[in-house]
Amino acid sequence: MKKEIRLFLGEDDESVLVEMLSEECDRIDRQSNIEWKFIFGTQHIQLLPSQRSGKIVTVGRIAIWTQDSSDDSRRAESSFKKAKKHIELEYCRNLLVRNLKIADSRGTSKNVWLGKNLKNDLTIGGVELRQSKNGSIVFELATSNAG
Amino acid sequence: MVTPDGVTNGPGAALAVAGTATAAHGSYVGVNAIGDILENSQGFSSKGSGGSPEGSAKSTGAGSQRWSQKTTKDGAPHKKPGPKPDGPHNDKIEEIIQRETDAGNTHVGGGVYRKTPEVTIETRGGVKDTRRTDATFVDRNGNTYHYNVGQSNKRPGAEKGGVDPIKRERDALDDIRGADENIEFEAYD
Repeated sequence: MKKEIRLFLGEDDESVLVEMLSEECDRIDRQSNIEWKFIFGTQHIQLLPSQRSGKIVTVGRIAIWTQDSSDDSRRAESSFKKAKKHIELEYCRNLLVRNLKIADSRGTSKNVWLGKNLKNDLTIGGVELRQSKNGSIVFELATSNAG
Repeated sequence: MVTPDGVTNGPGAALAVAGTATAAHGSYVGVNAIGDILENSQGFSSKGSGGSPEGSAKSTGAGSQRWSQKTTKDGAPHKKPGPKPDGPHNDKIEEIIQRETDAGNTHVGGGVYRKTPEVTIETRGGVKDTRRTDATFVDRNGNTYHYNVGQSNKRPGAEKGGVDPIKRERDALDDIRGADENIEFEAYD
């Protein structure tokens, strides 16, 4: 299984995902606030939390790449699927994406999810969603059917 | 070795608890035990360990894939279709990952031997709307940067080391740089 789910996470969104993934893993490897690794024997699930710099929040992700059908892989995949289900139920992905440098580059982004806690901040203009701190790709909530 | 005081900020800080524990393989580990199982290890640095900590990181990727169960008319097993897991492309990516992590940067995406999928980048307005880079890192200042690895033309070019990437690689670099993302190219041929 090779999967990546890109998402914008508020602090509470991150905590919930961390708790969920912690429940079934053997141990957690965290060397900095850049990355969490949830270890399942020889396999792992990666969580890159959104980074915050002033109003700017950057995209994070959870990802998995199992390359065999061992017990470790099955456990990691099962945990990943649970997290995926949670994201599909609780998050929204009604986002528009555009390149600030290119006119008419706006389009829908169906593969990036927005955590529900962060969505509240976004609605009141408290945050700006960007692909990276210095990048020109920005994400915005689509105005209609934003839930 | 379990070092539960590894987390000092972020959500993990509130969850960290004192003490040590060994998480049994396959057993349930409760939320409150996060601190106990938190291991502040050296991650994927292969210094002194002779490679990935997972031992079999250079896996063929065959697993339960259908192609691996089939044989040719001669009875020989099929070769893996698509990109080969231990070809020069992946070896070059691994070389870059090793070099960058040795320099103190954090590897966060790409590299078949590291079991970490490539990072997807939105490239609206480019030749393609998204690109996936071969390796992604975060430096000590929190800046993300990427590497692509591919083939090059024989003539001198504008990339680092005077390399001239072939067209599809140039297109990818232009798309990614058009989104103001930091990327470098290295040839493997």
